[in-house]
Formats: sequence, C-alpha cells, structure tokens
Amino acid sequence: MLIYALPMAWLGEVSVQVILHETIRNLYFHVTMWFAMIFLFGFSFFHAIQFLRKGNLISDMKSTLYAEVGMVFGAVGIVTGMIWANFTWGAPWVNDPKLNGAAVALLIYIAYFILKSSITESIRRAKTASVYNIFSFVMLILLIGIMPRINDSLHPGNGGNPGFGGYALKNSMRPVFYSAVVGWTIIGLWLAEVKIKWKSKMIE
Amino acid sequence: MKRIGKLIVVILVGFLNQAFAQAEQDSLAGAPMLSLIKFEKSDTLADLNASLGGVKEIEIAAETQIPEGITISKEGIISTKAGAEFSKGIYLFELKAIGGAGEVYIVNVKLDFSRNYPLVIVNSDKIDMATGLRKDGMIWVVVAVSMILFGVIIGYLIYLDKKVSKA
Repeated sequence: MLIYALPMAWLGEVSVQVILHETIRNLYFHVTMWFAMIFLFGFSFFHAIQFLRKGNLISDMKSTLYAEVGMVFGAVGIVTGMIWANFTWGAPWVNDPKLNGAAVALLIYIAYFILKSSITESIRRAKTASVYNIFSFVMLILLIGIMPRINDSLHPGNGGNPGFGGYALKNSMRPVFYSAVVGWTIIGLWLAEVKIKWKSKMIE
Repeated sequence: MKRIGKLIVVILVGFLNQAFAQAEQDSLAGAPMLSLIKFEKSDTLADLNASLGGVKEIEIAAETQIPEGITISKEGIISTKAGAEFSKGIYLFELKAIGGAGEVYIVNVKLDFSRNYPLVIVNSDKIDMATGLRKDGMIWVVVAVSMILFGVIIGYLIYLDKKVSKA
C-alpha cells in the first residue's frame, strides 16, 4: 500500500487551494502518522484492559510496546505538523487548542513511561500502568478529537477550516490517503510485533 | 348657516380626500417595487481568457451557485443569457481557472446589479504549485529518495524480524 501511496503523495493530483498550495501533500505524511498513532495507542489501551481483566503480564508488556511504537509515530507526526505549520502559518507552533491538546496528549503518554519505570514491583507496576493507560487513551481522544471541535481552532478540519469535506479534498486524494493510513498502521503493528517477539525471547 | 355647513363638509371631504391620496402615495412609495435588471441581448460581463492570458479550463465546484441567467464558457467568458432578468442585488461566486501553462487561478466574481447599470468586479489570485519541479523532472529525484528511505526502513524491519525469530 505504501509502495503505491508514497510516489503518489508526490506525483498525484491534489486540490489547489489558496495558502495551502503544495503543502496539502502533508496530509499523506502528518495525518497518516497520527492515524497510525491513534490505532497503536488503541491497541495499547485494549491490552491494558486485557491485563486488568485477566492479570496476564504478557498483555501488560504488549500494552507498553504498542504505546512505545505509538509514541514514535506521534513524534514523527508532530515534527511533520510543525514543518507544515512553519510554511502555512509562518511559525512551527502557535497557541492553538488542537496543537496544545496534541502536545499535552503526548506528555501524558511520556508520563506513562516514567510512571512505569518508577515502580519496581511487577504486578503493582502493571496494574498502575494499565489504569493510567486507560486514562491516557481517554484523554488523547478528548484532547485531539473533542476539545478542538468545541473551541475555535486554526487547524484544518476544525473551527470551520476545510478538512476532509467536499471542495477541500479532491476525490483523487482519498485512495492515496487511505492507503497511506492503512500502510503506516500495518508498519506500526509490525514494528510492535517485532518488539514483542524480542521482549518475549528476552523474558524466556 | 346651511352654506357654512356645506363649506365645512366640502373642506372636510377635500381634506380627507387629500389625506387618503397622500397615504396611498406613501404606501406605494414604501411597497416593494418589482426591481429587476434585464438584459435584452446576451452580454459579455468578463473575459477571463483575455485577462488571464489564456484559459484552458474552468472548474466550478459542486457547491458553487452560479446565478440563473449567467453562462460561463470553457474559455472563461462570463456572459448573460439573452432576456435574462436579475433581481437588483449583489451576486458573488468563485471559480477555478486553469491557465494555458497549467497554472491555477482562484477567480472571485462580484456582479453588482444593485444599480441601474451592471458593475462587474473580477479578482484573480494565482496559486503557485510546484509545476516547475514537475516539468524539469526533478520531482523524480524526490520520489527516488523517499522510496530509497522507505526501502531501507522495510529492509531493516525484515532483517530485525528474521533475526528475532531465529534467536
């Protein structure tokens, strides 16, 4: 999917918009990273619940590793977003609910890793981290999905700015965008699987 | 006395008549009049082909509402249909014009029909896209670099996966 999406991200036809110009292509890089990140944090959230239900430490390990890979995608997403903002808004960071929400959401996940490393007793650590992971995922959805829609935001798709709707996104862009979302999510899951295999071998 | 009475009645009737006539006149003045601007013949309002130095295509978004009675040719000639009637007012719409070299313009058209004569204001903004990068083929360098980077990431992932599975 990415073998198709990557060249098309540069060569494909895009909507011609005032202010955005060619930067609209960042949709294929920045937004897809965040989609992959949300899916990975979702898997982490699912395994945190599984741990709390069944008490299996493997689920806790999977939860942490999915969150780690999710963080990588989140970091790349923030960097690509900052590059875009620098060209479009004239500054890499502006005081905007969406941007601040995204930064706070990532800081909450950083706190998750700090919390995890600060507790030595394994069962207690896993239980505390799992509960905190659930809180983190709920906060992520609130901070990047709901809060910017309540407040006015500069970010595309919020505050009345064009996002995925009608004129803003040419139909020819959709197959490339969706392929990139699926492709990067699969790469993320694969990366997490490799880490899980490696960690499992270490434990054995 | 009778004469004075008749005179008073005549004055009163005259006064009332005058008052009613004035009221009728006032009501007519305040009533919405059928205010139309009519084009007997087809008339060119704007020629984008000439003003933009050649237009290859005109794109009109699905949600753009072109006033009834206005026609826009593929070459960007905005004209009125013969016999077209417009209510007095201002009409605004946006078009996208593709120039001869593939350059794109956002064209804002304002038709001011609020007076007895039409006033047409056309404002075009050129949107710079990386057409040069595509024309000289340098875009392929960008594609090649991103594909090489992607290949390296995938290759490393395959290597790691195999190494971890074997261990």
